[in-house]
Amino acid sequence: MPLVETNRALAGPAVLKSSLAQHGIDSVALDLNADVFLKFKSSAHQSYLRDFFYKQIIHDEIIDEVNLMLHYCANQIVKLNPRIIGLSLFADDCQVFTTWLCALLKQMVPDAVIVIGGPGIVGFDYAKKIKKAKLINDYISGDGEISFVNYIQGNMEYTGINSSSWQPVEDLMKLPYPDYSDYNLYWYDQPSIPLIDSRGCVRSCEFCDVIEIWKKFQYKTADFIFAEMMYQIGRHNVHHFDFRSSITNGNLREFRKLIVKIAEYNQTKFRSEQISWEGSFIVRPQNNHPEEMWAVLEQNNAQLFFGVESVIPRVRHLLGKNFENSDLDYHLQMTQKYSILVNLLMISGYPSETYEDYETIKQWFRDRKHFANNSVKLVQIVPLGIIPNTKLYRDSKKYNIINADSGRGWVNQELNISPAQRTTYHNELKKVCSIECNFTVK
Amino acid sequence: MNTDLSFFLEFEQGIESVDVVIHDRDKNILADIKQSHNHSVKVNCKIKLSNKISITINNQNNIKSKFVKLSRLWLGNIELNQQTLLQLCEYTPSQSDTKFTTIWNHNGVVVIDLFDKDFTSFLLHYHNHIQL
Repeated sequence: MPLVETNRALAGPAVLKSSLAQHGIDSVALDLNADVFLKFKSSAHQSYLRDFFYKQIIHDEIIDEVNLMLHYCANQIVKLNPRIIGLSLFADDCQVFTTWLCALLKQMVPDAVIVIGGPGIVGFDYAKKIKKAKLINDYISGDGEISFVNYIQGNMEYTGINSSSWQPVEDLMKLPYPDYSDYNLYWYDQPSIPLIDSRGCVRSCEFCDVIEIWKKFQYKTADFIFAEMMYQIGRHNVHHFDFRSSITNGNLREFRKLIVKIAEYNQTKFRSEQISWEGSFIVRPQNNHPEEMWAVLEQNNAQLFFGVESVIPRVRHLLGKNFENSDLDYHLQMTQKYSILVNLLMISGYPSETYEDYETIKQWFRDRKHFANNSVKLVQIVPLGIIPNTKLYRDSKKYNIINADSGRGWVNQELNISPAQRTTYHNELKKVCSIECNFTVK
Repeated sequence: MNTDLSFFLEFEQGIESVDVVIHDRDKNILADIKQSHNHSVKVNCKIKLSNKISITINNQNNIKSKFVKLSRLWLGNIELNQQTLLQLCEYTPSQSDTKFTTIWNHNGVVVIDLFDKDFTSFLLHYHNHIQL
């Protein structure tokens, strides 16, 4: 479901399609976000559209555009004459559009059953509320690969169906490979295939809900992932993979084995047929990631997303990341040496960051501007929104944080830095990174 | 495409009878309800989207000091918000009536003009949020 601001394919529908097919159930998997995001990107009113998607504010200027998006999606679904419509919400940001689409679908095909699922149905008690409003028939919490099959087979007592309690899939490697045959993978900016290499995380960062959703870290082995890559390449002739886990190097043994297999494969291929991939990567102490690993990674055409969050060690350690700044510097040096692209994921204005910290962070970037577009491809800086169902949310009183329910409107009363002041800092930091240091910033 | 239209009317004591007539663009009567001795009435009927629906409310006593209030209205499962209801009413409440949102102290007409509009464009046009 829109809107997820990405020009990459979303995996959910393809994952469910293959699980259904395994049980003899026909389905069509649509990535409606891809089409809507394209319309969004070409709109002259993106900020007004964001107001609609994220806050349900309706500006006159976008009424026709929103209406067109809703009817486009509804028609894509209705023309298939579905008996059951499953809508997958990747994030809370999909809730407004889903609500409107369901209202329209209930008018157009009142007899079709609408069921929703995905990580985006949890926030704000959304699933229960939209069911109560009779805009959907049912919802499925948690992993859908098995529960959705049970739902369609009529086993309404199965865990996760119309209930917030659910059981994670026990073994990721017993699931079939996702089926992207309904997607036009060449429709996206860069054709790529999502690959779910693990679930959960080996870290437990207090601001993140991944560890709350999947309490146990599960991974696919190097052999399994590589076989999946070969299968998808054979089917779609696409060689770029998006690892959609929170962490590609959660299991170091399997990770090292996988990158060696990819490097060996690539050595036998022309560049256009080589595998490339991108994924989240945790920074670890230097001895965990020795130089020979970086040399192998160079042969992987990999782009790594470092979840740095804060370059203030005190703040970073407390939020749940135990590496040192010297480890981060080592990683940047290695990626530069071996021409590996990196995205730095930063949070601006973490609750425990002070004004003094803000200045230290700006200086940290100034001191590392030689990495700008020379290994560091992008610095992604986001303000912190406190997510319900996280440790940070639960501990907000302990930290003297008020308005934790408001997403980004929270205030740490000890430091008394207002959301507006954080926004000012956020803009200043982006300016320092982009104008002073020449980083590409998002 | 048919959808359910339903709404609540509330009226003050002293109003003995209220006529509610709902008809479409072609003057077909969809519902004709005479209500007495109750303080509120819920009206349900089926309407065709892409049509112009008029709800005429006649306070038969015609006591101008008494209020009839259109309190809630649903199209299908969507409840229209008060701002939308206000815009749909032919008569704007007087300044002194601000404690109510959509009221008449005389006969009133609500026009839900769906002609040339589909369901979502109607809701969007009136800036009607879908509240869960």
